[in-house]
Amino acid sequence: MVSNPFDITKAVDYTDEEIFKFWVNMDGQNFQNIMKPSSPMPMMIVGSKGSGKTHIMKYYSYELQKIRIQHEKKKLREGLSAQKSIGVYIRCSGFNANKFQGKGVDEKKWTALYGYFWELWVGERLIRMLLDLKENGAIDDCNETEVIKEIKSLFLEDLDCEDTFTAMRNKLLDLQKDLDYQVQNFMFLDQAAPVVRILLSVNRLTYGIPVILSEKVELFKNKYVMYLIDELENFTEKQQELIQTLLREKPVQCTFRIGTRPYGIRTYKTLGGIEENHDGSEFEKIVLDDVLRRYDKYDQYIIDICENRLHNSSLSLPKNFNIKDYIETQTSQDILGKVYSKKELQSQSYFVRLVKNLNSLGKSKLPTKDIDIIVDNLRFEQDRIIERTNVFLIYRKIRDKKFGELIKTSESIKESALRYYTNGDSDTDQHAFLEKYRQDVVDAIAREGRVDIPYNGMDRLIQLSCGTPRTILRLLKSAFDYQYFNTNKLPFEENRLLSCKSQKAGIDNTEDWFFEENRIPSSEQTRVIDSVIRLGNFLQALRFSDLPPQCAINIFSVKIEDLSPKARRTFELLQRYSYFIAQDNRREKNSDNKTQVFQLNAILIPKWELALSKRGLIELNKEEAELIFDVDRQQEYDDMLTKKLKKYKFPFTIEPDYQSDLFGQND
Amino acid sequence: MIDYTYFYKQKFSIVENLSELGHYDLFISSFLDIERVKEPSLNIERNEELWFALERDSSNLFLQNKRLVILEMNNDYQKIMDAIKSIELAGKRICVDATGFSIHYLLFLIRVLYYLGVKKFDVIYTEPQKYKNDEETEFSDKFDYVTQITGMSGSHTSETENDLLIIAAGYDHGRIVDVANSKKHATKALLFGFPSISPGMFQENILRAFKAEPAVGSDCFNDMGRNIYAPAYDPFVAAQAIQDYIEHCRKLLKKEKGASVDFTNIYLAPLSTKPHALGMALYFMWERGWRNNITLLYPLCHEYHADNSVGIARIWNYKFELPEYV
Repeated sequence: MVSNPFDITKAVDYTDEEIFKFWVNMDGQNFQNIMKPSSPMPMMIVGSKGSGKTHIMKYYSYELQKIRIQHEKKKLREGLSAQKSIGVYIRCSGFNANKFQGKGVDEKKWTALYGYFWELWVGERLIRMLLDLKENGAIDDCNETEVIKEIKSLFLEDLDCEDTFTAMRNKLLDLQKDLDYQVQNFMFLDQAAPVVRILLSVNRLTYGIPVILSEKVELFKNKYVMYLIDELENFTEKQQELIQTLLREKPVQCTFRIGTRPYGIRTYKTLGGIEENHDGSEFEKIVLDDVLRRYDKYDQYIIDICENRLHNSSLSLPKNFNIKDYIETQTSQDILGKVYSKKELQSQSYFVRLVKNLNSLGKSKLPTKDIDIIVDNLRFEQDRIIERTNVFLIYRKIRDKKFGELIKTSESIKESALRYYTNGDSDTDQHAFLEKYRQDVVDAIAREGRVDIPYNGMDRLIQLSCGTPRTILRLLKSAFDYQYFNTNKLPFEENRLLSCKSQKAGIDNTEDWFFEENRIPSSEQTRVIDSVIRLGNFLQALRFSDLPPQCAINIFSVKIEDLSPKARRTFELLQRYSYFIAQDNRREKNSDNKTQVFQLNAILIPKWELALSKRGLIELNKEEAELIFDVDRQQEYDDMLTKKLKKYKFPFTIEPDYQSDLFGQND
Repeated sequence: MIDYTYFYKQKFSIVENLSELGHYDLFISSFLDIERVKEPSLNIERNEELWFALERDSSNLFLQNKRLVILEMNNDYQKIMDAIKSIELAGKRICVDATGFSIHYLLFLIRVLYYLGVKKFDVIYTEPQKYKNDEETEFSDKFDYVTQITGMSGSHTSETENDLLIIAAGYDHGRIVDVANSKKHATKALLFGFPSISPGMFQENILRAFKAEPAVGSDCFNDMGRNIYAPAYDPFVAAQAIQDYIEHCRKLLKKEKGASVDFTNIYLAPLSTKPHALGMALYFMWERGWRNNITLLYPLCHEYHADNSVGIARIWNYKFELPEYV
């Protein structure tokens, strides 16, 4: 069975060895500038699905530190001595945290039980690490009995267990089981609530053990225990208050790196809601996707990840393999070639449509021979991009309702087209238009000619990944499978390119995957995805109108503060679930004010055939934004879109709010 | 280890023949306004009956004059417990119609009966002829969160290195994704209904489950032999298949990692047919899962689609027998 080199979705999560094997260094720093393992400052690492957050956190766990040291052929103690921290990885999903709620038990009791369970959990993880250090000879000078006695003193009662790491670990596990048994089964024990003797107060082991280690174990002197708490989104708001308390009150002997999804932070308040942590004060927040998107070598980083996969697979690759060379790319010329190899009815459907529109002008209807003259003047077989541009230009005149001048205008367009074609004359409408709208013209030709707009080639695929490595891995995995299934030949081997068709299949599949993976629980709000669909349709309709208001439509702005509470909730939710990505603010037109700008997650761009480059900003006015983000107002949204398009689509029955030199760039 | 295939089941092709089951002291059902729930109940003789229903169905004429407990969509377990506790159960012949119950309530009910000393009872289940939209049929909507089913939860610890998640894969691939994502670190295996309830359903099931491949893992589809198969209508074979699979994987785990190593947690997610859910519950109870590290997981939703099937195919009667409750 051939295995897909991009297959990341195994039946079991990555092992520690696999994380090490597939690790790609970013900037030679191993993400140290993100994780800052030498810094005692707690950090919150926010990353959407597939951003690599878990991999990066695990890379700094004790288990991976050990593997790296072994790989460097050093003794464990020697390797760890050179490091400022030792990582303890804790995955929140293992807690099954929602068992600590409801069932008729009051919240205060749950808070106490959950806090106790946390201490037992963390304690066991720490002791397990100590056991491993001991077994690997890294803490031979440690007085195990003394350390355990100290740890026992942290409990509210005497613990009945021997003074060894193993015994302590087993004791902690037993206490966890006893607590869990009560939590899960109190209803079947004729109890109104779990009956648990709480032997630890909040933070006793979380703080206490690192302090003891720093005093009693040579290896831990001048070192932090770095708690890597991943998947915080699995904790309720109340449970997160405990974590925020731990961040706030921590001793110098330990620190925290909290990993969470953007929607996963439910509170910054500490227990009891008394105090609140702040970014830049009690912790430092890093948004991993953002860091990756802004990283000037992000493209190379992604290429390294993909090539690493390929080199670690069973594929036979040539020396000096460069993945970019093996992913087929379509140029604009390729697209035009495909379109214009079709029959005229399809390849020049823009003329068919123009004729139909001119024939439907009612009172202003032109004679057929005049329409033929106009169309003939617009034709430009030498350069189809110019030809299609000519059609855009004539629509301007049609929008201005100067029907009597259309023949004359078409003659003028013909003449300037020739000048532009012959010597690139910059004093032509064609030049002015194509400076901005070239890609839109090509994409319009493709779309009208029923050819897929190209989002292929490694550069474009990297853009689609939107700062999330897993997205491109998912896409390539799917494309690889598609090609192998359909051709029975492995891409990348024997100079075989990953075809455009396969990449298209990969993109379509990944779009579906994105919606599945980023499903928003209904407790937040129902059917908010409808807003994404509305926005996508809105931008797509504008982009492919007869006179698009902007070139390369890709980004939009919205004044969130003007939205109704309901619409605002929808918008913010979609942002937290990575459907919308915040961009740098831009200045509003005719204003000194800056406005917030957003983009649809790039993997969704092909779905609505939007531009890949971030140029054309659509400013949503209050009404438009409200109707897009209030999912209950479907009919009003439909009516709004119909009305909006009347400004940009034949017969242009509504004037845009103001004109520009070229055509209404904005309204 | 027990051989679950010894448990007894009966099949009826004609709903009227359910009268052959004889007289029950207590009949428990959950109401949905569909043929599969109403028709069989009219053919079962009983002294006493107890119906559960959602508020939206409470005024249905069918439920007039019936003993009725109204439940919220989710997390309303105490009412079930109180309702069952209020009935004298000792020595009674009890029948539970699983058809109309949502899975988390059904399994909780079974645990309650067991806890209250009922070690033998009948469970009936009525199969549909087909699902209205074939493999595109939706069963639930507005997913909320994945929870441990109350009454079907064990004791878990900070040891999670060798967690196993078995998902009874139904049509609702979204729910498979939700459950799989809640235990990303676990080794996953899929339980498919084979034979399925009707011929085309197996292929439909695979097509839908494949949509969850990114969450579950391509291993489950690259090698279909690594999955678990049990007839979609048979809880006993399902329980046996689960037991066999776990034991097989346990041996492999010990061989690979050492004799002292075992599964750290076993999670079972009943996302397909009611019989498969019953099979998982049966395994849980015979293994005394509440004292061990076995838990059933379920994705709670705000909507469960009742009216997505057509007709009545077979009606099954499963005779549940449980060990002494400890």
